[in-house]
Amino acid sequence: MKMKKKSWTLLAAAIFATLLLSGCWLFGITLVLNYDIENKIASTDTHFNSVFVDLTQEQDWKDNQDKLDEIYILYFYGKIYNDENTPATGQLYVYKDTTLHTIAEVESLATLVLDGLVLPAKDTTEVPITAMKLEPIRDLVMKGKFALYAIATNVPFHIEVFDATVVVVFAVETIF
Amino acid sequence: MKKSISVFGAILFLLLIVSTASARKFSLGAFAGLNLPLVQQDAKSGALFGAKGRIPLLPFLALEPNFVFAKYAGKDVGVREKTYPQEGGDITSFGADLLVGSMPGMSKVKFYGLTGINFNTYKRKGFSNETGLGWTLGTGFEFLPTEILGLEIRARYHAIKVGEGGKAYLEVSGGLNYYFGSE
Repeated sequence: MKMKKKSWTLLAAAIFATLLLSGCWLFGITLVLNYDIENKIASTDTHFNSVFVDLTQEQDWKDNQDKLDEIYILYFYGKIYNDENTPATGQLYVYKDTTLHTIAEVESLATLVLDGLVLPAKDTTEVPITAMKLEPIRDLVMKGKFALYAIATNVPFHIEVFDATVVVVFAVETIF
Repeated sequence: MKKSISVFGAILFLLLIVSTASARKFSLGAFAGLNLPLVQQDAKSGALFGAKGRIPLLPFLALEPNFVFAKYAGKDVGVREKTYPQEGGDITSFGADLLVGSMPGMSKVKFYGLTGINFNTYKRKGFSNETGLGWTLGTGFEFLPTEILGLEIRARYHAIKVGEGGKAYLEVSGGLNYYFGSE
């Protein structure tokens, strides 16, 4: 009986140690952070700007950035005005900074995270909260800083992105 | 999924044989209740149901292989004065809990603590499925009005590894256990 009790105790300790060593997910929490983008993105096929998203300035991120475990979802919400007389198909790209200056650079160096946004001519389209492709940019988002670019597949194009918000759902480890 | 069910069934069958050989009462049970996300700003509560078998190992110790299917609802996301409903999802869990406490044959009322591990598939509409290890810690109370029937309520903390993070739930359930074998 003594040996059996000792074996069970050792087995339980070994299992618990394995669980702990695999990470502190045992006491994880999930937070949702809204980041309102104040600046507009104005893009044509020859000139465009990008906006820099800095999550590290948000209180929830600051409070938890040393305990960040995982980014689960990255959402985009915003309004896009198409100033051309022809419909356009909008795209959102993410890159590490705002140094890209040509469409070719954006398409080759940045990561496409949202595609197929149907933009009627001379009209504003409200893009409802939509999940962006996270896997290719997960490590970048974990750092909390990235640039958002908006272009269209048509040439010529003239679009403006405004009232945009990025929503991040992320996991934090904690001990109750 | 089929492989998990086969493995679970094989383990349960083998343990039932061992239990029968040891001539202690074992049970099969079903339960249902609430799945309450803990500190998750993107999820709300949902229902759960499941099945389990209890195999007594020692007078104060029992092993309980179990299957749980739990749902959770999505929390609305507020963006720029608008609110968007979000999809929820479900969690399928196969595992085993170790129960420590007063086991059948000692009185009509049982209290026990439990801890266990399990394997989980975490699903959310519109996203890829995630699988991950889980851990449970909880407590339960059982009343046996007859020798073969037990009415049980339990609360179980269930942490699941999802990606590199973790999600935690409080599972509160009530169920019935049907006892086999003899003391």
